Amino acid sequence: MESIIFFILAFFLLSGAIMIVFSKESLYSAIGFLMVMIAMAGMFALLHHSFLFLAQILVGVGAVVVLSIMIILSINLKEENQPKQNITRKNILFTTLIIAPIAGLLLYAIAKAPFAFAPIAQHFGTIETMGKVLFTHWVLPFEIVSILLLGAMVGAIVLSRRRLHVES
Amino acid sequence: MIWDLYLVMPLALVFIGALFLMLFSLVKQVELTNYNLVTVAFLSVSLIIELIIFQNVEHDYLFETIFAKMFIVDKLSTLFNILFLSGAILTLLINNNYFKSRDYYNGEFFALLLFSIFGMMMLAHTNELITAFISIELASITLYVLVGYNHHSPKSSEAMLKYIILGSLAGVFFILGVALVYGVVGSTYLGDIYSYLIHHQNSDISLLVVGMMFMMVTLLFKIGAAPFHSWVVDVYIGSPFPVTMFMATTLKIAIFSILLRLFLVDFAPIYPLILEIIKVVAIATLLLGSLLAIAQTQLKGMLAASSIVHVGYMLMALYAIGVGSSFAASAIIFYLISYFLSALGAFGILSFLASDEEKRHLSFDDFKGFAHERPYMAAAMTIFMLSLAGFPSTIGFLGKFYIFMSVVETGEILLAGLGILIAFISIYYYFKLIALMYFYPSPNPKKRFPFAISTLLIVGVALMIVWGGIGTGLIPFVAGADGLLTIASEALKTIGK
Amino acid sequence: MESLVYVALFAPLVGSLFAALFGMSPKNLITGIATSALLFISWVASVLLLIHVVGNGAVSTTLMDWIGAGDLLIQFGFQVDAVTAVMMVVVTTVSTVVHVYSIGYMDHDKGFNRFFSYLSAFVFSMLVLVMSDNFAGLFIGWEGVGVCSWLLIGFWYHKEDVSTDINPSISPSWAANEAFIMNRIADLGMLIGIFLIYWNTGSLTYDTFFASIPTMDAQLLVAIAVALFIGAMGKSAQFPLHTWLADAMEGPTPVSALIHAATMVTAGVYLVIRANPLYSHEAVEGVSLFIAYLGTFVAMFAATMALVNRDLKRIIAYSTLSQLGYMFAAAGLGAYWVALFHLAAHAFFKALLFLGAGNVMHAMHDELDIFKMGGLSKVMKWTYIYMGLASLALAGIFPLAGFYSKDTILEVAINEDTYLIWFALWVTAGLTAFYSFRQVFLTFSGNERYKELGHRPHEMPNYVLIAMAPLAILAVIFGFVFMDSFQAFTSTVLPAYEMSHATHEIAWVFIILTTLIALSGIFYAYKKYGAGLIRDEKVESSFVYKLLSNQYYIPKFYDSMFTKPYREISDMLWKRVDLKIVDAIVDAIAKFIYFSGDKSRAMQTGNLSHYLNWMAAGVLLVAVIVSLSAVLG
Repeated sequence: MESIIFFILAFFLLSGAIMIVFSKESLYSAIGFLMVMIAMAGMFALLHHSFLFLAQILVGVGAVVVLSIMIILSINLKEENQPKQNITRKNILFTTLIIAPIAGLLLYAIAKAPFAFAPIAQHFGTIETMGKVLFTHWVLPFEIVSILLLGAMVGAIVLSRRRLHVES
Repeated sequence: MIWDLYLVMPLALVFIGALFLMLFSLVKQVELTNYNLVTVAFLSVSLIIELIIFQNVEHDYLFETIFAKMFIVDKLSTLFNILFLSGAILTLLINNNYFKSRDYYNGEFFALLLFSIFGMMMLAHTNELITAFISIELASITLYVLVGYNHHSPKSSEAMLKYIILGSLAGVFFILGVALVYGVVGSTYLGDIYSYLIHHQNSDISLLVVGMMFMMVTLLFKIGAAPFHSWVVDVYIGSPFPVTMFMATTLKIAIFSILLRLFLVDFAPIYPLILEIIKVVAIATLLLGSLLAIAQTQLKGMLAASSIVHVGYMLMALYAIGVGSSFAASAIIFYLISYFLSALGAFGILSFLASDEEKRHLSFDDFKGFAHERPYMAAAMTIFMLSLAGFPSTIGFLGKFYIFMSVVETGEILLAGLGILIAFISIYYYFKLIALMYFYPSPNPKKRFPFAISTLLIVGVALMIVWGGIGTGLIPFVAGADGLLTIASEALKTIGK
Repeated sequence: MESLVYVALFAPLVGSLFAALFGMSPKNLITGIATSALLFISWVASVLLLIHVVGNGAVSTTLMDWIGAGDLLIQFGFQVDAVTAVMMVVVTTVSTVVHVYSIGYMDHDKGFNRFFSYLSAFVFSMLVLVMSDNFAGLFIGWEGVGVCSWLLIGFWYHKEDVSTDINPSISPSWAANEAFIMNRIADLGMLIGIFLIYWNTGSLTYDTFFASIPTMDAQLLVAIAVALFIGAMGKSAQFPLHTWLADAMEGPTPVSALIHAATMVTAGVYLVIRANPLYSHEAVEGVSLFIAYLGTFVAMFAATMALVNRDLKRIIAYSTLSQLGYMFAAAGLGAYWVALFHLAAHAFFKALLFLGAGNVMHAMHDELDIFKMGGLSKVMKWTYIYMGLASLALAGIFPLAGFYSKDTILEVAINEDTYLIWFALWVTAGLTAFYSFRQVFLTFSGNERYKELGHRPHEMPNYVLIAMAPLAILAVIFGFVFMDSFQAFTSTVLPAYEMSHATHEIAWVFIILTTLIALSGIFYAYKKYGAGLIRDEKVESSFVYKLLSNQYYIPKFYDSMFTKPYREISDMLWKRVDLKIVDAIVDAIAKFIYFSGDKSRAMQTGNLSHYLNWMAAGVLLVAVIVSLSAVLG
């Protein structure tokens, strides 16, 4: 049962990803992005990780994707306004040729890896456990992430506030 | 506890400075120079504390009860912090005129810069991969914004966009690598990876190696090693001068801090598996960087491209570490310092000229007869070029010398020979500038030496380069070249395994 | 004592820097006085050091570590042993005199301050050269004196040729470049020698190298000895690298006195003396003998060129060359202390001779042709006395300095049973006496030919003449006062060279023979030129005369063999290779890197995706290497 759900989710995840890259209309790409995010959330649920599932839905779907769709709609991003992309067959072939061996290597290494899985702990993935872990063991990276977000925020504000004077 | 508070002070100061500037950037009446001075003040206090820490620290984990072993404080991290801080201070002071000459700088610029430095300092202290990733991102994301700070120039924005996209892609490899490593080891601590490798010598570690490889990809990208170097020239040319200076010197050192830590601690048991990459990348970096540098017509582009070549030399020494050279690691740190000084000076002169004369594009041709127009600046520039080319009696020569010696020590004569050959090629593009400056008449009349913080610091850096190159012993108690090398090797000793 | 070492060494540097401060400003007497005073301090320190070394043995000190990495340690160390102390005193004595002299000589020159800056810098480099305790320091000093010599020969770089009728191709800058290039060629040999030493001993200090000589391969020792001697040949202008020395006379005369007579040109001799454990090793015997024969050849060869020359300074230059040959002959035969003794004695009387020539030039408004002088002894009494004394010393007349030093060299030749060398040097002694006094008589006695040219000669100021007095005194007394103590003193460092009993027995015969030939040389000169210049058309149109006055056509040979072809080749390289090939390569690289051809490189050209492709390819490359070396392997 689990593997059937996994494959369904994987199908959506991959087709969403392909849609992002190949659709010429930005809105379709955004919808592909949405598919990826939801499928990803499903994956987390499948792993019994309720916190990540919720976070993915709330942040990934609720915030990131919705925001990007809003922006696309509000600035009326049409194909003719975008930089010309040349997604030719040659490019696809080239990319595949490059990526396939890397993916192959990854798969090969994972297959060979001596994983020793422990059984899932009782409260694995609950909000309470996650909170405890984040605020005890991982408190340092957690805090630095907040600084990272602060810095990124300042940067975003600076970028959005300026006006671009294009000189020829 | 008190000691821990003391250890965290430099970082805290930088962070508080960032917050302070962020809030005060709202006050429009404050002059830009004052922002600059406040930033420098925060950094200087932090630097002084770091210098004191360097004397006293051996090997410590900050707040071990709370942060576990994530935050390491040893001489290596402190030494790197000192470099970041002094690099940032010099960058800011040398560019003081430049800031004033452009209208797009404001308080946030300094806040972002401090955030970036905070990320770098964190990176030097980290003993754990997730924290390392977040620190790299913190240092990079703020830099992306700084690269695009010149909103009058489409080139700057273009450079920013390129840097964001390529940099994010590169960053992804790191976190993928961390995930794979975690999958095998079950921990992201540097020490744990080492002990796993020691205790599981018979089990299959392919996944771990692949994970480490991905991590290497990111780090190689960030230092601008081939084949991940394509962004360097565009981004360096596009960025405003202070940011170029900061990136070329400080960011590069920051990445080397984690690279050295990873390489010396975690990769030690698997050197035979990882060394081939380093060797190929080093050779490719040297060759492609030289080609790029020869082709540049703009001085900024030449310096950017040549910075790739300098990374190649350091990768050569990194390779030598793996083959068993005893002082290659110190040689890298020494080279970082020597490159740091030389590049800082060279970019500093460019930024000074750009702030002084609006119309210069700073191509090679603009430097025709420069020596007759500004003899002192030309002399300083000559020193920087000589040092970058590795001419004897400059610190750059000693840097290259130590690197080549460490490579020769491991018996890799061919690699060392290639390095020397590349150093000869580099004479072409560095001496081209010197020749242009001296062997052409100047179209402009001779100008007086402008006394300002920036120019005096440039001259000071030039003197330091010569001082570092001629050697120690003239004035006791001041570390010259040998002193720096001793400091570097001392710092390396405190790395825990 | 170490502080004395530093005082002696750095006082000239301080002076040079001080004078350099005024480099671009008009003449300032203070630069001349300050540099001279500092040199005097350096001289005092050198003399004190000499006394200390006589009493207590060598002083050594390490200034600083220059390079320290792994096993490599190159230190800036200095040592003052007997040889160094002698060299230091010689160098500082002559340079102090020359500095004071130059205040008068360069009085009207625009580059007064610059001149003193260069001159003191030269002394500093020379002291580094002789005081260093390792080959690295020696080489730095070696290059330093080369650069200073280049600056000083070309000091009047704006000046056209002064002796057009004799050798039209020479201008000061040409001469400076010639000297520089010839020395670079020789330095290459020296660098190879130093490199060989480092490669095989792991150290550059003299002591380490000398200590490891017994264990080294014979062929290697020969290679090192040859390489080092090539360096010495360049600096001491030995055949075939001799042409630059005569041309170097284009520089100001004090420079000729200091650099091209007393100090720098003897650096090659110093090197051979310093490296005596190498050159006296039995494996290197052949090289040493070659040095002796080459020295003898140069001694005679240069003396013949001096016979017919009309240029006051060139005559002295050739005689310098000839005397350097004597020194090499002695050193090659193993009599190192004799070579050093002749070096010191020669420094005093030759510097005196040059300064006297400077006086004459100054009086004659830079006229150098001795055929246009004569009878100057009436107006320049003291100069006449000085130059006469120096020439007597040079000719080797008892009891002047040259008699002792030159005679000992001849004795050494007898002692070693190298009669050919003895004979050549003996003949040369006669030639030396002749050309020295031909010059003296043509300049100072006979009819006053200068009057036709409208010159009104005058003597130099008194302080200049007083400044020259120490050299004159030394030229007279150096031999009979110092010779025995000199021998005892230097034998602490150099191998003691004793004449065999048989030589001792018959020495008086040879002394008489030498004195006789010298006296007859003087006499012949007096007979021919004492009354004035009588030109002999027949002699002057003879082949030998032409051969000699054209310096055996060697400069012309070099010009057509090396200079012209080189110029043509480099012209061709510039036009063909540099302009076409190198530029094409650079262009090709540029095109290869930005193969879009569009240099604006905006986003729209798709460069970003291009970069992304590159990056993915890079990851692939890394992955392939990893899989080859790790995962699959």
